[in-house]
Amino acid sequence: MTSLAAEFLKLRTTRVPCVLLLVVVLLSGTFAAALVGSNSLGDDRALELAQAGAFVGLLATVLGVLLVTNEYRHGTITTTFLAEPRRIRVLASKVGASLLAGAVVALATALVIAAVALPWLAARDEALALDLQAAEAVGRLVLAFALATALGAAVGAIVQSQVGTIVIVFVWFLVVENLIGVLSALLFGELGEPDPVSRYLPGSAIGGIVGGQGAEFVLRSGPSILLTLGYVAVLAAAGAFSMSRRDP
Amino acid sequence: MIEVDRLTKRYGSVLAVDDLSFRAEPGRVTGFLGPNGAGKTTTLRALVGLLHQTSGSATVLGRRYEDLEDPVRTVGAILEANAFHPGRTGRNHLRTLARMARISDARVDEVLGLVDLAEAARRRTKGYSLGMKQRLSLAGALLGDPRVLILDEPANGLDPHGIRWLRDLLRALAAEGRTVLVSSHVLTEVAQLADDVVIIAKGRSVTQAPVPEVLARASRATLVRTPQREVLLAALQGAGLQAEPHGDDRLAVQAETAVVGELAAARGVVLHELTNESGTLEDVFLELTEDGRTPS
Repeated sequence: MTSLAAEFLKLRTTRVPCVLLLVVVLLSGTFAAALVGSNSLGDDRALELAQAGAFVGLLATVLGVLLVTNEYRHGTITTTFLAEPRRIRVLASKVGASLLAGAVVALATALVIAAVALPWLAARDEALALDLQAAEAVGRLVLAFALATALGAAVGAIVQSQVGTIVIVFVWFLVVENLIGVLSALLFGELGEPDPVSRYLPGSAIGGIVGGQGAEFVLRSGPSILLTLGYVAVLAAAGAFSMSRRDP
Repeated sequence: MIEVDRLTKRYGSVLAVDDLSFRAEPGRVTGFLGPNGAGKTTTLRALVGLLHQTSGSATVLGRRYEDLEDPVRTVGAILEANAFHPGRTGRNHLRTLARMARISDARVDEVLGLVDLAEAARRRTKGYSLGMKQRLSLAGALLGDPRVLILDEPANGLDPHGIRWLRDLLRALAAEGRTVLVSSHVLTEVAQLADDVVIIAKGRSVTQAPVPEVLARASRATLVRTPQREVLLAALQGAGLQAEPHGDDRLAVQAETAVVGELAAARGVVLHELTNESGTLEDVFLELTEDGRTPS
């Protein structure tokens, strides 16, 4: 617990994570406003509003990346290893702290989305009940952000270079996964139709946890959660290996 | 106690540390000297578990660093002078360390006062001078009130007041029975600070001994100034002493001052100056770490 508290203190005492939280919250609020304002909410309104937050899940991954690579970039990893020479424990605390930090960001996001959307919908006589469905939507967003952040920490532990990790993460999620989707659609079906491959890739798996519009392109929530957990576990194991082997 | 035993670290084809053994004893300050690239930092990093050595061992209190039960309360170390997040305040940097080691924030403020950083503590470290960063590193090393200190170039960037303050602090810590190992390239500093020295070159030990013993090895000369230089030179050489002109009006003689003075008196030579030039740690260091010299 103290190591988790230490990791949280490291996040709180620098500016970038706080700015990142603000950006995530503002973007999510804007997307939610766009959804409500353009009357484009479908049947499952709670889930689709949660999706407004999930759109910026990549920034949660960046938060996890920073939690690990900041220490390599500024040399504080040396003092961290002096305090905890068992490097696997260092990574375990960082992955744990990432899960929690991701959950906190998701809750803040959900609050802002609710603050934007609920009064607006109520004013239009389309009030959204805070029922079990709404709770499930928030729960899915929390899981998606927690795992997305932990994934970033794991990749950061493998690569260690901050710029390198951020480039890899952005290129993978924004370019490579889409390319694979296009290729797979061309090979196995038609463009614009769900393809059999891309739903198993990490970005789609994280998106599948929340679901919402376009759910036919991703796995259902349960399998998405398990698949993402698998990705996080495998990448964290590789990160632990890389951290233990490569001396800072 | 610190013990390095047959430590070897190879980076590809480069031997950074080559079969190095030495000890640093409790209650003493041990100076760890060597030219740039001699392997000092590599050795210190091996002592605190920051690198995987090729062979041999480096232990603190008989244990590998990663096997210490409470490393922060056992060993305080400075490995890099500037290992801070530039946007974090000095105090928050120490708080993150303290949190990891279950040390209270009260102790953080205590060590900040000890290194005279209480005023700057709530400023971001990017505005710190090199000397302030060094003192913040030292505060981090002292946080756990450790029995062993391993400091890589702790005097770098300190002003003359800071250097004297550091010397007094390290001497006081050693006097309390702690083991202090300090690497440096400022030899005059080490001569005044250390009880023992370990000198390495090209990853190998060239000498290790108490400071007075090392200084005794430095060649000594007597300098003598006289208006009758040729007369005295002939007399000295006639007595079988090694003497040669030194500067414009002096002679350098390989003999004690008393010998030279008595000989001059016996011959009626006028002396204007007679001084004993004792060897310095620098002389010994340069002599021992010269290129091409085979390490002993």
